[in-house]
Amino acid sequence: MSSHHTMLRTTLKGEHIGLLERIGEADKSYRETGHIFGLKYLELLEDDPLKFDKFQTRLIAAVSAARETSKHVSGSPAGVGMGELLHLLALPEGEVVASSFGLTGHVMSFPLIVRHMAETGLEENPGFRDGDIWGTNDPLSGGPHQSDCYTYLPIFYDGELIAWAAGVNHIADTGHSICPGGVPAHSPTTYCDGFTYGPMKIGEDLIEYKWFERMWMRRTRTGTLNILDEKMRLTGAIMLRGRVMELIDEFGLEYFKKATREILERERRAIERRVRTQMVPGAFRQALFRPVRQKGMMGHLYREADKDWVVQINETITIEPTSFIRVDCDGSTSQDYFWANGHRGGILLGMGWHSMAVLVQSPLVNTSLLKMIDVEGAPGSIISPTRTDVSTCAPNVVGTMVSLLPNHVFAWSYFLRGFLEESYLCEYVYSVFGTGGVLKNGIPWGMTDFGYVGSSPRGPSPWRDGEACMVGSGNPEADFGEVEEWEFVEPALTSLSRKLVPDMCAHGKHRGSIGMSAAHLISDPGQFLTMNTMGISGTDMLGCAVGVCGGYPMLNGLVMYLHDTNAYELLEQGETLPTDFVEACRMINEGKLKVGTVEMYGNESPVTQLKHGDLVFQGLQAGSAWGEPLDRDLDLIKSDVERGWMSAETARKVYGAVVTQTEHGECHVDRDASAAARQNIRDKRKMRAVSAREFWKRERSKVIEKKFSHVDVANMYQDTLQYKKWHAEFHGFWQLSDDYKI
Amino acid sequence: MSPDKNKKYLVALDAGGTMTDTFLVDEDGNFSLGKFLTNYGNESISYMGSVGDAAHQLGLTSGDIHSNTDTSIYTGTIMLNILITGDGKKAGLLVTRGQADTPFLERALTWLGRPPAEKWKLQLHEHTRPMIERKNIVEVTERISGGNYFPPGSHHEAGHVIIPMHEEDVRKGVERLIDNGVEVIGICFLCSYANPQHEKRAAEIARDVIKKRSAKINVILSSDICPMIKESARMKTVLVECFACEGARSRLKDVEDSAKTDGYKFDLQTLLAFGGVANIRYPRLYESIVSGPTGGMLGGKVMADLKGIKNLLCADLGGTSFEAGVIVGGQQSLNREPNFAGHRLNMTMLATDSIGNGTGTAIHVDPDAKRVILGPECAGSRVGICFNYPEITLSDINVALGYLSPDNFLGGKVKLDREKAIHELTERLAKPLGMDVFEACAGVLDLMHSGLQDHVNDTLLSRGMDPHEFTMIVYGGSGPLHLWGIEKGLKLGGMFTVPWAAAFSAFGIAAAEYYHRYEKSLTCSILPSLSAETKLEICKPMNDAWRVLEQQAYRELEQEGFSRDKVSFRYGIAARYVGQLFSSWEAPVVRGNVDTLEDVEMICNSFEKTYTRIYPTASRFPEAGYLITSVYLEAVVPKIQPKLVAHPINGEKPVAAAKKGEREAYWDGHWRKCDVWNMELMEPGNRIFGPALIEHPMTTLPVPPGRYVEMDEHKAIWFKRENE
Amino acid sequence: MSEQSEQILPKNKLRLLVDGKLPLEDIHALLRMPVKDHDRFWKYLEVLQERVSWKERILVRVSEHLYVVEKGAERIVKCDCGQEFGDYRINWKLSSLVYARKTAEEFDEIFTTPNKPNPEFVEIREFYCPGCMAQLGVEAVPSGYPFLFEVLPDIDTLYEWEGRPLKSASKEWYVDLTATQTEKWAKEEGK
Repeated sequence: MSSHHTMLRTTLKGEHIGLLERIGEADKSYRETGHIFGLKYLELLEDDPLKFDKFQTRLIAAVSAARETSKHVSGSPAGVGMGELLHLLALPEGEVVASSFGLTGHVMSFPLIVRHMAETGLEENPGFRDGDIWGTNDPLSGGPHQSDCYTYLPIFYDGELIAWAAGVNHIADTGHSICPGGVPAHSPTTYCDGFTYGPMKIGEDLIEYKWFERMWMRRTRTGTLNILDEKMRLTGAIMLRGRVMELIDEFGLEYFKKATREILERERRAIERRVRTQMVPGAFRQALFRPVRQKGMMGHLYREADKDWVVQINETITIEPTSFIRVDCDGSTSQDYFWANGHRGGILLGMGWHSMAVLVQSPLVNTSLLKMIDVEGAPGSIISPTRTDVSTCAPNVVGTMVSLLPNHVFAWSYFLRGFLEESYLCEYVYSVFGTGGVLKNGIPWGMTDFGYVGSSPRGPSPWRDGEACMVGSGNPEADFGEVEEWEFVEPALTSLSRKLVPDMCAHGKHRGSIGMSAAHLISDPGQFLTMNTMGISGTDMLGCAVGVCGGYPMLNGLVMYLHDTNAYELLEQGETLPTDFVEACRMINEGKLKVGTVEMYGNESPVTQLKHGDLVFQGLQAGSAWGEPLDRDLDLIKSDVERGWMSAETARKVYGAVVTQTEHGECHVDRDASAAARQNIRDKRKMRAVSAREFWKRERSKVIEKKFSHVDVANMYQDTLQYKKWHAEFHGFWQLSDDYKI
Repeated sequence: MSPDKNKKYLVALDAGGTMTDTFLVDEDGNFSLGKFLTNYGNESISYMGSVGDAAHQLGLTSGDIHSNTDTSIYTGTIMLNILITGDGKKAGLLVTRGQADTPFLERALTWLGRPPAEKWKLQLHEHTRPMIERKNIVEVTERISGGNYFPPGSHHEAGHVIIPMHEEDVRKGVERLIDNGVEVIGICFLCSYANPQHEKRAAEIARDVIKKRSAKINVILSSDICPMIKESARMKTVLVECFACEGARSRLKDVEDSAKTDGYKFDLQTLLAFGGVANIRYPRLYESIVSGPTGGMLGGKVMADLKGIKNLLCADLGGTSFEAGVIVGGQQSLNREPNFAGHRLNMTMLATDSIGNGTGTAIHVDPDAKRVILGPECAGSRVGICFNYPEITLSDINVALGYLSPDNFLGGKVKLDREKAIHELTERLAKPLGMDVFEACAGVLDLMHSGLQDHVNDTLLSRGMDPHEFTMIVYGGSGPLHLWGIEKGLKLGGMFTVPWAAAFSAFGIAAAEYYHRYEKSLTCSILPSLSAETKLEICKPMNDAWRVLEQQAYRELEQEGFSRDKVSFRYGIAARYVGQLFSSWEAPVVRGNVDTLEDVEMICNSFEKTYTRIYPTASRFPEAGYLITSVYLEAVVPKIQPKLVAHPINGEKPVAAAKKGEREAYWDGHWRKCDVWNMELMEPGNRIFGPALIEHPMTTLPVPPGRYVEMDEHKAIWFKRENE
Repeated sequence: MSEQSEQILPKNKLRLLVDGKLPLEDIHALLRMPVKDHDRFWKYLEVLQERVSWKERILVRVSEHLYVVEKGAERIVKCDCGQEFGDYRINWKLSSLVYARKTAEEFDEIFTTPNKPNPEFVEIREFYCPGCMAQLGVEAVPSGYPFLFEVLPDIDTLYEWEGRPLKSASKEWYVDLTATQTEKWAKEEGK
């Protein structure tokens, strides 16, 4: 074996072929046959299905053991507390065959990394060798964002590359130049994105290079934690490598190679069958909008990024006769100088997160999902960026936005076919913040707080309400940790609450989850303290555009920074502090809470500086509703009022439910009065509504005259109408002349 | 065993979901087993029934036993039942403002206790039934700092008061709770583990209000019963104490009363989750929530000590679940954040892992994917389709393949229908897979056994241990039945079971030590750069904490009737590298004092020893320094222990009467004629070669070709390979 | 004489599921079924059909209140109240009543906490059934955005998947014809 060349042997011909060629062959056979690796007949499975199951179970046990053992090594709050760590086993071509618990969406992005390595010639130089340790966190190589760091080992058997063992987790701080922590919602160009590396060789003989540790210490704010995380990922990957050797000894090399391929095809068929037998095929049109606010933020330094705009995500989700799910994003906004350009690793990670919770739902999850679903966007758009200078630090956020909509479609589609039990709006409505600064004794620090991304609400079904803090954001073991542990790593952020906020929900027959609030009092921050947030549930334009079956769509998230408050004076006077933003707004209106400046955002906020006595409020987890609010069962409304989740006023206004409450909190619902109130609402609807044609006519003239509600909206259309299919849809609907231009 | 009314006895009971088992042992180490159907409504009935059954085996009555017994230990499912049925006390709770939803949000741990496959099915996640109504939670304005992991002088130190407590909130809140009719009040404030002053003051005020209102309401402080970081788990712990413990205590007193009426003269004792026993008047009764396998783990410890086994893996295989735990170097490992009945708690419990489905697990086949799916449902006492369960189960396979006799189930009390099992296995399993029925059955067993092997391996490997250095004991009703299958794929140092495998938990409970465990959170960062003086200064809180815990232990044990000279202490710490978050590792230390630099090193070295036992050297990080996150204390008093006597060794050949007959069983693709033996008539020294089936009224031990078993002088049955 | 396995869903339970009244344990049991009942879609259609007073055959449900039904040679959208919305290939929203909330006051009626949408960026369109005034759909879009065509079911593929293809099957059934309607309107408006 030459020192810089890897020996890759196919078993059939005994020829030496390179990784790139192997990947090409795999692609070709799938394209031509519709079966992964062209496997029409699953020989090992058919021969002895029980032996095959045993093999697959052992693979999964091996990755799980790697994760469960190594996770405690971590320094990362996300790795241990939130269980974000993931270990996975992949074929030489990169396809993941087995995954542990953790952020399982990575089964979608790891194959891209291997592909990228093959395409960029890393197999030739420096080459892959037994005992090598590799790493990357670069979204351009297939990773979802800089915070998700991969550590992986090529596994060789008798000189032949037979698999990859990988570990990945979200680290506490990436060394971003503007935002401390790992979730920057502010970055114009990739040169601000923090410590970005790889794919590269970071060690050999299963020992990491010393300089790599030095890089972590030098280029990030939490070097120690990041090194511990590196050790954690590596520990698991080494264990996994050992287990693979044992499995090959038990089953034989040929069985291992063949069975790992058959596993992929078998799971692909399982998804195909699930779609074919439980969903309704067709075309589903969805959209999502979100303003980006950058104007005035960085004008002096980055004039090109000094503007506001609206991001438009258009989607037509087609469930095809072959069961393949195509997500066509034509007409989505163009790439730009901001943090969330949707490179493919991030998009597919989001797709993996969301769709495996609906389409796979078992420990058998692997990359076969990637063969049954794809996201397409016009080159140059936010879905498919072509530029390498614009920021790459959060493709995963666009990924989760893009993948939310197909999940509404899946729920819808199950419902239409009669599989109501499977139908639920799977929406990862998370929020996360980065914080950091310099303590009074000069110690710098940074942290990503996962307290609000460790769990998401479970969206409503056709038969029940949504509920907060139910499921993990892409992790089967949801966990948002404990306040006392978070405070331990975030000095200066004193928790004032983690609670449900009455009335904060999308209304419908089955309402969305009651939203949560988190509140912090800034207490002795030291020399300085900054904070910024990032999340999914939008700003100003709701979380998505289409409400399901007559329910209202997902609410906006909210971040409220109150600067220069009289919080400490209030406490001295024996008053108390607000625990959520509703209370805060009330106390401000009453004049009790005095505030110098209020900054209010949706889920994303730019970096803000915080001082002693400032207050921070976040509102999150209020997902979409299902169905017409007037169809809501009166007893459910009553129970919401009783539990303090809804005011009697809202019950009446939105639902036409007349609920009265006694001193002791017991509620009574007046059914006759409610029937009358509901009729009133219907009458009001009749009075206010116009025929669709009337509406069309009125709005059409505004479109023709280019009278849009805001200049950012006009700019949005100007940009997106350059994309062909969307152009045709827009023109067809409004019946515009060919020369119409905004 | 000859009846002797003048002997001293020790009685231990393990009340499980179905049966209440008694292990009755005399001062010479002779024992008998009793069984009785657990009576949920009135556990004194099943207590008396089970003790009576064990006494009957000796030709005695329960009264004969009780009047000659110093110690009766009863461990049951009372706490579990209260939590599951929701039949607890009406509790009130004072919390820090903004935290009232914490018990309902429960850290989003909605997947606790669900099998792995179901964790992926998010629609199945549910919040656990709460132990309190939202309206009975009172928010109090106050905040205390819990400290941070940065060097001293960076920010507020642990225990710093950020927001002083608003006493009026407490007063008004307690008034409201009394109006609402609560029966007990808990207090759990943020970071009270670092400084209990607000909780203590709130308790004073509360007790004052309660007194003025002439109410009888107990007040329970989180800083008293559980001064440990993590508020959600701590709050749950306080709630368990409030909601379930008083009810459980009064039901335990009922059991005690019935024993006393029968002649018993002492206090009833009960098992604690970390493996000690205590009087049922013990103040932190929440510690008596015991998961099924705890008793068995203690039994394992007895066997390990008796046989001089350093590392023992204990596997409890039953009808509904399989559980495993380890003893390493004579030490049992502990879980510091156990899950119980869907709640994550802040307490210490003997660590066991669920390693798989029980023998009653239903089998499904997905014919398109040619996939076998085990569970999640379980036949429980309905066994399988061979008895009266509508699905095929692993038990049906055991019957079909000849391992289980259709005529010997529960000693022949239940007849099983083998023909029906084979018919349905053919229709539902073999045909969809396109396989021969017996081949398919053997394949499913192999699949299940390989899962158990993996879990056993992982249980060891995830603790950084080499399976070769382990001996495994298998018990529980199905333990002997699957021993051969687990052994096949493992390379362990040895494997055995015992004739009393089916009541092994009760045996373990009999052998438990009488001890209490105390723990306290603290934050001591021992950084390499610090001077010797500073290090000692930083460690001082550890000494203080140990002294406080010692006093508490003396006080409590005194109340239970033990003078100070009877009490001895064991010390330990929980620690991590500075920079690691959320996980700490527990390490015993030789003394509970840090006075010199050597003591500091002793502390650090004990941590390193524990850590490197678990993780590869690559994950060590001593350069970062050590963070001590808590200290603990175990206070032990002497208790009588059951003795296992050594019997004389007889010949290899069992007595003729031990042979029950012959039956065919399926091994490696062939039907083989097997001798069937009576386990109860096996004697020390006997060897039985496979293929053979050794039957006991409560279980069956199959011995495949190429294996044999040998009974040793303590009646342990060792499972061995012929050529080794 | 095989004993019935518990792994099927009887029609009476499906009825309860559709009504949202099936007990949680039963739903959990459904979720745990390793293989689903093969005739679910047909049972579902029967349950749906028995709940409407009209006779046209339901081909597929498209929303809580809306169905695509077979009416003579046509396939149209029909509300459970009996209101008809015309050819299902044309977005049914074009046959509905529309109310678009465009001001903060109008938003306040349905968004009651401060994290409400901003009327400068988005309008909330509510689509009602002209027959029963049920709210059939909601859109939150910027002004000037075309109506979103939520579902165009591929009915013939569905029936093929079920192994019972429709006699009237044709490729022409799976085409978006919405623009033909707006084209007609534009002509009628004379612009």
